[in-house]
Order: sequence, then C-alpha cells, then structure tokens
Amino acid sequence: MDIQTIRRYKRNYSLLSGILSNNPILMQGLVLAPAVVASTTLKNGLALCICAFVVFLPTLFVVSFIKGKNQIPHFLRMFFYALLSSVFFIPAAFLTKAVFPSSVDMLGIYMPLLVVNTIVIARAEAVAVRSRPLVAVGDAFFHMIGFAVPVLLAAGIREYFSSGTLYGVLIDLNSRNLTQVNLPFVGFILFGLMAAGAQLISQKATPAYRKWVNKRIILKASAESTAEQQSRNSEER
Amino acid sequence: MTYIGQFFMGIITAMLVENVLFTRALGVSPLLLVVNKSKNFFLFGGIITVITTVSSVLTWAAFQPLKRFGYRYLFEPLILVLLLGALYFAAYYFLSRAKGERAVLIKNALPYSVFNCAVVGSMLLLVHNRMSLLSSVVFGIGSGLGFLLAGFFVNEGQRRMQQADVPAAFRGLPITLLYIGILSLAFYGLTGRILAV
Amino acid sequence: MKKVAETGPEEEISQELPQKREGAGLADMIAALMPLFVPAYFFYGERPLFISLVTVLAALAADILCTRMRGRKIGVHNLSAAVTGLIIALLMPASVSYAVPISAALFAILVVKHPFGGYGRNIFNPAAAGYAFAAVLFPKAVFSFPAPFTKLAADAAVQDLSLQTSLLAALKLRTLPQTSLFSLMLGGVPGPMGTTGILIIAACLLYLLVRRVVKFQTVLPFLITVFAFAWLFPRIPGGRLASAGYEMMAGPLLFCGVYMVSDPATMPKTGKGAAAYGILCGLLAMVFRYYGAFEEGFCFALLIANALAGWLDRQLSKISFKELGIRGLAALRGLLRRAAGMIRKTAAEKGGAGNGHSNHKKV
Repeated sequence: MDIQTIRRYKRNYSLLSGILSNNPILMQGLVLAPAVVASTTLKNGLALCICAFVVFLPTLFVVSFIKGKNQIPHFLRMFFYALLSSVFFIPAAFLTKAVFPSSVDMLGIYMPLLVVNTIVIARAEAVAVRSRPLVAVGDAFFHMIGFAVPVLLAAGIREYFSSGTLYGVLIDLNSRNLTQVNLPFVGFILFGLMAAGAQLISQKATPAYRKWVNKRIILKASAESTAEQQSRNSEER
Repeated sequence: MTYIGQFFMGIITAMLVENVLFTRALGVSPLLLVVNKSKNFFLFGGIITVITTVSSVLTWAAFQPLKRFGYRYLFEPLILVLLLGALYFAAYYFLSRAKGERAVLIKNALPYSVFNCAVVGSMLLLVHNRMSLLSSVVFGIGSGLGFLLAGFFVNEGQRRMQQADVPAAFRGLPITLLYIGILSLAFYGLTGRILAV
Repeated sequence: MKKVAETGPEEEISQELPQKREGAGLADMIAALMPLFVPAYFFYGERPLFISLVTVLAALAADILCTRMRGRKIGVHNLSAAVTGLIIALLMPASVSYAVPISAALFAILVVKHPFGGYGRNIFNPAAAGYAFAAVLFPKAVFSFPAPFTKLAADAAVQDLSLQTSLLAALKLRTLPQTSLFSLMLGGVPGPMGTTGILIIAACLLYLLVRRVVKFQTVLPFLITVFAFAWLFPRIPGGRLASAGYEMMAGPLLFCGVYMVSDPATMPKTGKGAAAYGILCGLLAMVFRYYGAFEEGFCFALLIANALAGWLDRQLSKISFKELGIRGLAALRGLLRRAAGMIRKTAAEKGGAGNGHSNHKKV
C-alpha cells in the first residue's frame, strides 16, 4: 500500500475527529459566543444548529473550489470567508425563521454572529483550502455535529432547570423555575465542565483510537498484498 | 457639562456593567486565541476600540433607512460585512503606506480585529436596540474598552493558571472558561438582570 | 512543587501558599467561627446548627471526593472545606431551605476550588463564589430573613414563614433604618444567621489577629476604606457618623471582612500588595453596595479583587517606597535650589532695574 493511500485512509478517519478530539467548541474554543449565551431552550439550540449547518456547509464547499491557481491573497481571505458566509446566511435565516419563528427573536444577535465566527476561518484554512470538495463538506459536517451535541445538551439542561420543560413539553411539575440558569455565567460554567469532560475522554480515548486505525490500515494493506500475490500467481500459471 | 457627564456614564456602563465579554460572551474565541501572548492583547483591544467607534457611526448611518424593513434580519450580516470590509480596506491601505514596525504589527492583527464577534456583535446590538447616533458612538467606545478590560482580566488569569496545579482534564480551555464564568458571575452583581439581545 | 512561569523581564511572584502552618491556621479559623453560633441559637433556635452541619458535611464530602479523584492523600488541608461550608452557612438566613446552602457549597468546592488547583492554589475564594452563586440563582431565599427570636426547628416549614428584609434594604433605598446603632451591635436585627453579632465578630477579629491567622495589612485598610467611603459619600440622611456606623455594621460586611478578605490562598503575597488589596476590596464592596443590583455585593466584589491579586503583587513590588522617598527628597532639593536661584535673580533684577529705571527717568 503506498503512502498516498495510507494518507487518504488516515484523513478519512480523521474526519470523525470533528466530533470529539477536535470538537470546535469544547476542544478548540471556537464558536463560544452563541453557544454560551443563546443555548437556553432546546428550540433555540436546534434553531442555532440548523442555521449553522446551512451557513457552513455550502461556504466550506465553495471555498474548497478555490485553491491552487485561484488562491486568494492572504489579506483578502477573512473578508472573503465572511462575505461568503453572509451570502449563505440569507437562505439559512429564512429557513430557520420558517421552522422556529419564535427562536429567531430570542436568539437576537447570536444567530447573525455565526457568520463571522472563527470556526469558518479555522476550518477553511485547515482543511477546505487544500482538499477535494467532498472531503471539505464531510469535515464541515462532522464539525457541525461536534457543535450541535454540546449546544443541545446544554440547552436541554438549562431548559429543564429554568422551566421544567424539554422542547416545550412540561416534564417536571414541581420545577423550581430557576430562570437564572439562562445567564451567561451558567453557560460558561456548563461549557467549561463539558470541555473538561471532553478533554478527559479524548485524552483517554485518542491513543486507543489511533491504534485501532493503524491496525485497520495494516490489515487492509496485508489483505491487498495477499490479493496481489494471488493474482500474480494466477498470472504466472 | 451634563452631556459630558452622560457621555462618560454611558462609556462606563457599556464598559463595566454590560461588558461585552462577561455579560454577553462576545469575542471569547478571538480573545482566547490572542491572549496567550502577553503584550499583544493591549494592541488587539486598542484596535478593536478604534474599529467599534468608527463602525458604530457607519452602522448607524447605514441602517437608518432600513428601520422598518421586515426582512432586515436576513441582510444584517451581509451589510455589516460589506461595511466592515470597506473599513478594513481603508485601514489596510493607510497602514501599507505608513512606515514602522508598529504599522506592520497592526496590519497583521487587522483581519482578526475587524471580522470579530465582538465588533460585529456590538454593531448588531446597536441595530437591534435602535440607538441614536450619540448613544451608538458611546456604546461603540464602551464596547471596545470593555473588551480591553476583559482581555486584561483573562491575561491575568492565564498567568495565574500557569502557576497553579490545574488537573490534567481542565488544563487549557476548560479552566479558562470556568475563570471567565466566575468573573461573569461577579459582573452580574452589577447588572442584576438578563440583558436583552 | 513550585512552578514559576517566566514572562520576559518581569519576575513572577508565586501565588502558591506555603505548606507550613496549615493545620494551626485552619483550626484557629474554625475556633473563631464557633462563637457565632451562640447568637444564632439565641435568636433562631436549633435550625442554624442543622443547616451549618449539613453544609459542612456536603463540603467535606465533595472535598474528600475530589482529593481522592486526584490521587492525593486526605489530610488536615481538607478542613478548609469545613471552613468554606461554615462561612457559606453563616451567611444564609435561618429560613433558607437546605437545598440552597448545599448547592452553594457543592458549587464552591467542585467548580471553584478544585479545578483551579485545590487547597492553597485556588484563585477565587470558594465561600464568596458559593454565596454569589446562591444569591444569583435564589435571590428571594437568600435575601429574606426571619424576625429575630423566631425559634425555628430543624424541619420547620419555612415556606409559611413571614419574612422581612434586612437593614441593607433600607440603606439601599436611602432611608435611615429604624434600629439604633447600639442595638445593631448587640444583634437583634433581621439578617444572616451568623453575621448580626457585631461585638462577637469584633472579638473574633482580635483573636485571629493575635494568632496571626488574619493579616492586619489587609483587614485594617479594608475597614478604614469602608469607613472613609461611608463618611465621604453617605447615602442615608442622618449625618456622616451615622452613615459610617450603619454601613459598617448592617449586613455581613464585617463578617466578610474578618473571615474572607484575608484568606491566605487568595490574598496577595507581598505586604504592599496586601494593603492595596484591602483598599481595593473596600472600594469595590462599597461600589457594589451603592450601585449594584443586590443589597450586599461584597462577594461579587471579592471575586473581582481575587482576580486582580496577582497583578497587585506584581505592580506594587516594582514600587519601593524607600526609593520613592529618596527620589522625592532629591527632587524637592532640586526644586528648592531652583527657587532660591530665581529669587536671587529677581532681587538682582529689581535692584538693577530700579537703578536703570531711575536712570531712565533722569534722562
């Protein structure tokens, strides 16, 4: 198995890293502003996730076409990414308003903030500029899942404690209705604890995961070489 | 005299009571990326203050005709990005003409400073709260200065945390988030209410 | 293990607590908190004792759990969790439900103390953070107090009690409280469980100062700053002395000043830094009281001062008063010399000008 194929396999496996070991919020600290303040109810959290998906995936898809000869000069890059995201924001916001009309008002400034968020630049510079379009979209997709999971978790916890409901459905009748959990400081603490948990899991799990990936590659390589051997033997005959 | 008094009160309010970072979590990510170097956050904060001040005037002017546009929310980011882009190119052009290493430093920090959650968030707050021109400028200055103050606190915290015996799972981002969270709790003692977005 | 990070020409002043004298200091602290239960029992019956017991147990359990999870040995330092639990409990009204101080204590130990490094290395005072947490999440429970001499049993039905506001609410509304300063000192006013016995707290302060557990470099500037602020900017009618008296004795300010400001782990480690820290705490405490959202903002102010403790150490260690004095004297001498020179010149001019002038006139 040549080095190119190995690289390709490793890269495909590393796409999943967007969920845990490279989680945009919990490990890289990228999209913190909307996550910390605006994840107050499950509906808001879902609205945020939908908007993020519809803004980021097309943006990174388009960015992956622009490389090599059409490289954007350095000083234009941030402006270009921001412009691209804000163009895709228009359908994204329209869609989100259609699905969750009340959330858009509650999210206020934090929905448009997704446009200039550092995650676009980070992912674009790291992956999209040098990969094929499909890989860029895959990477963006898993990073969005990595964004969605903590946001929805935090949103669920906060909604439960502030009004005893989950997604608007009343669950706890004796809830104390602590509306103060919607404060930013609770968000910071929640995300800080989640980040610590993610770091812990990732520290324990990453070496094991890497070993598993390497073993798969070796198995695949040995399977290929035996297949080659067999075909050569059959040719000789 | 009362105008100047109100001016300063407005700045202090935007800076302390409604601090951009601690009460609204705007600009956390870029701040964390920059603050790791000791001296840089001051420059960063300074640039952001200038940008928020100038763009507050531009934003107020640009959104005046759009006050009653129902679909305004769709185009807010686009208009802001174009505005900030114009500002960015103007600043870039002037800095390229200027000489000296400080100009180069500012030029390198410029992209992150202009297209920044803190700046864009403050501008969006201006638009959403329909502020007048004077309050917009005051809010812009106060936002920038508040960001500078927050950067100072976070820088100080990073120093302390380097010396402390932080458990392995918490090192780096988690402990910084907890630190900002506790300071956010402290600043809440001043406002006492959830700020509108 | 001391890790001193170097950042350029500035030398870092290690903010770690030296390991000696742990046990004696903590035991003294607990001994100084015990007398406060006498007025608590006297005014509110047995409920304060039960609340404190439960809070301390919760804090100790959390602390021991964290210590084991980090693979350290359980030792005398775990008593600091007991101190935290006691302080949080004594700041609560006697009518609070058990969940509030327990959650405050758990927050203090699990979120504020151990992630930042545990005993001696935490940046923020855990008791202050716990109280701030409770005040923000349960404002009605933390700021409504039963009338004194309502004896409450351990399992009293606190939901049906009629509760009052403390004197601080009157101060916040800029009105003169009805109680006299003297009865404030004795403690028959609605307030948190352990903070109304002013005379007892003053006695405990003296004890702690004598035993060197509490540094006078912090507490004295703090008290003087609070007094001066209340004297210079009174917010209630009735004269400056009354204002200063009420501000200092109403509410938990004195209690906090004795037990929380001079917390050895969060204080600055140099003498000058400690004094500046005391002044800063006093200023911030009064600002939060006057302009903040809650009637007692001391705990929020303390958290901010905690964050600045290291900075104060660094900046103030650069200033040496001896150097300043020497430079000041030299500057003064230079000024005097220049002034003497100028006087001589003008005298000469006047004499000369007088002659010249008379010459001119003659011509």
